[in-house]
Amino acid sequence: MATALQGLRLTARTCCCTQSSQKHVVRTIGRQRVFSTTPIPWVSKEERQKRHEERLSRASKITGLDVRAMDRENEDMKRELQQLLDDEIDIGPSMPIPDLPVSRKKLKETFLNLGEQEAFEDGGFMEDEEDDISTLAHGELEQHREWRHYARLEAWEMPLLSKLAKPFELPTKRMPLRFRYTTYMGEQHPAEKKVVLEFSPADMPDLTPVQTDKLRKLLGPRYNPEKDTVRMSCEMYETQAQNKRYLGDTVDALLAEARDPTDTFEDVPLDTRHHTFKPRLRFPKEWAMTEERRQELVAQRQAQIERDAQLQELGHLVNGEQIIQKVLASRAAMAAEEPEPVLVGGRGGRAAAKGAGGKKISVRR
Amino acid sequence: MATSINCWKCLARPCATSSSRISSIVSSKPFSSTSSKLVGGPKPFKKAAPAGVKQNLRIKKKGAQKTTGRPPASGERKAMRKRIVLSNTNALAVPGMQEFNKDLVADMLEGGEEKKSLVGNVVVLPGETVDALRAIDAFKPTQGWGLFNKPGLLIRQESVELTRALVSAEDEKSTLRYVIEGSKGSGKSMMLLHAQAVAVARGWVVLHFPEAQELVNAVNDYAAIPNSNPSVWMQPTYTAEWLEKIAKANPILDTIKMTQPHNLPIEIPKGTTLGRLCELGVRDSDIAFPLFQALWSELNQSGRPPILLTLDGLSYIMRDSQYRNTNNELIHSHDLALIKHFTDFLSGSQTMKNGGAVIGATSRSHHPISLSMNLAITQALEKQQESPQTERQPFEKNYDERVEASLKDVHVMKLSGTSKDEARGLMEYWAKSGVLRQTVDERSVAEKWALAGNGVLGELQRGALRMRI
Repeated sequence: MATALQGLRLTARTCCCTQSSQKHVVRTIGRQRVFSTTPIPWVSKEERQKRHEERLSRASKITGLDVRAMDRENEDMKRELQQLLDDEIDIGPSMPIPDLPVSRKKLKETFLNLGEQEAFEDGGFMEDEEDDISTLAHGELEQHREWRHYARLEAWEMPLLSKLAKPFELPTKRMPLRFRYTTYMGEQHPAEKKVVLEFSPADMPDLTPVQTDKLRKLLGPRYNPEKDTVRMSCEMYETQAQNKRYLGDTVDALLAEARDPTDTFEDVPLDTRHHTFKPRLRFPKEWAMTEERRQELVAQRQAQIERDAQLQELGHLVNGEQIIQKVLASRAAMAAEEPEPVLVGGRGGRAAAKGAGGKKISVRR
Repeated sequence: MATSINCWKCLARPCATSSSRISSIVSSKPFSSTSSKLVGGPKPFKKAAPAGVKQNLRIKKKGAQKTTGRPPASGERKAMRKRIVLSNTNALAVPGMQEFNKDLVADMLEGGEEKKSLVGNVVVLPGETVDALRAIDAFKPTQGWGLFNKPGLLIRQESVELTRALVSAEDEKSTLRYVIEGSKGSGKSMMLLHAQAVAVARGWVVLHFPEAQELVNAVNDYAAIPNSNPSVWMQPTYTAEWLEKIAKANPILDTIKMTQPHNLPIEIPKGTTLGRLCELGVRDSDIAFPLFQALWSELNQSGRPPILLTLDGLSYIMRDSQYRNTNNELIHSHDLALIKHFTDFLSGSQTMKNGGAVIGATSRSHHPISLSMNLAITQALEKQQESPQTERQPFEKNYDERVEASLKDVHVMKLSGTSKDEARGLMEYWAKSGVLRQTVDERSVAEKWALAGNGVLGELQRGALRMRI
């Protein structure tokens, strides 16, 4: 399975490699013109004929020759040639047929011809002259080339990057906003354009406590009351820069609103329903086992043992098992003291006696 | 045996062809002009399941078992479920137990330096107390009374406190307002039972709502009290049954005679005993509620005994009931007359003239959540500990003003696990009763106490008595 997949991968790679150069060639449809905003003017047959006549008459006027006669001669020659060609076609296939482009069927786009410029099936592939290595081998070669490419990059270009390195500087008080960008290392990804902004309302400059509180209330569910931070993101624009701009504008708008004295929101409580406060459980200091605590526990246990021993001596220690045995023994003793009542007469009595001892008791009435 | 095996070298099962050969031999007949029945060969094997359908080895269940014998009569199963056994003759009688009477209550309060404290002792409930408590449904089937020879009660530190408060309320003729709170199995209902036992021992009149749920879940008939605005709703049948319980539990009512004139729907001669008044209410549920009101006003005359009014399952009455008014809207629990009666005293808007107590216990198993009640209890506890107050959630809509008003400034008793000494006393009682076959020493007590979540009584009982491995 793995081998098959490897083969498929290499084949696909070869196919891609051969086509990659043509991928981005610009092709135009229709007659090529210089850049123009007007539509192409198509000319009717009669118009063309009329123009031709005009052109001929103008040429004869300028040159003084009988251009019209020459034109007619030309037309005759054309017709003759056409006749000749028609005759040749009529002769049939015994004559050598010139190499003409064959009309080819457009293929459905599949995985194998994905991204090719001309996905045609015509069977007219180049003859396999068996002077080339196989497709798989081409794939291997291509892969090797790629490896070498990256090895060269690593060896020659990467060291130069260190020249561009800048030392990290802690953000100052004037930089309260923290942006997060995402890169997928040159690959395209839909999340590439997303920008996330984090800041703390307390760090915002030139805000009174009331205004800061108003800002917190305005921030709604983006506000984390546990950490006193805000997190907001934007990915609605095409590019990272646009998204970042939008976030910056939003912060400006929020600050302007927070500074607006018309309504300070002091009567509205801060809404934290969106946030779940997680209790931080920590091992209590009092529970930590120290040498003192260990000794204390040993002393406690010793005291317990002593107390139990004391109770044992006095006979006050309660033992459930013993109590039950004692009661059962006393009940048995009581039962032994009393004579066992024997039911005499009646069916039940006789049957019971039979069952117990197997004795028959006969009673005379 | 030999014919069934067609291949001696393998364990393959006999194939269809061999059996078909046998059948053809069997079916050979003398000459006949009609074709044999088996003419097209034997029928192919029936497929067990069509292609694509999963087969499994599960044997099909037979239909529901037919019940034999008599089905239980109506109400029989409920009676079985609610049955309370208070005595078990197989359990050993514990010698030398003190009785829960007036002297013991006095001893409980003294408990000075020289006298040994009663805390951690199990005391036995005397016969008349048991009768009274049984009449008001104070015992519950889940409390494990059936394991012991006689119903006993553990004296805890908190119960001593409660007793002290009750006695001082009696002395000062004030109304004690208590809410008992605690985790599941921590002994809230038992604390209520302790209060009732104290009340019975000291000759109080005891009124108890054993299950608040029954008051609000719309299983009883109800009617608006005439000329009440806003409407207050009475529950005639429940009130009649309740009056019966009151009369049964408080024989003292038979000695008290009516002195006041009342505006009652029936003519009651002056000098009728309160016990007789209750009896009249039991007979006719339509007049039960006015008679209850008359009873209450009679009890509040001077020279009458103090009253203990208790309710179990407080959170049920701290929200809308399931009854509906004439506009098909839910009636708030506090608009039901009996509950209103209770909450008026709990909130302190009314007081008992001869002193007394109103105690509500929360329930922590299958209970509705009342945000306001929980908040009020938390706030009350914080106030008692003088710690910062918890405030309302600003955006929560489900708070109830009336509930908060009804629980304003009540004293909350928070029950948690017992101390090790109390647990030891209880375990010794179990061992003496023959239900705990263990030596009760510090080690075993500590083990059970720790496993029961630091001595939560319900868990202690479950771990020591019910779970036998």
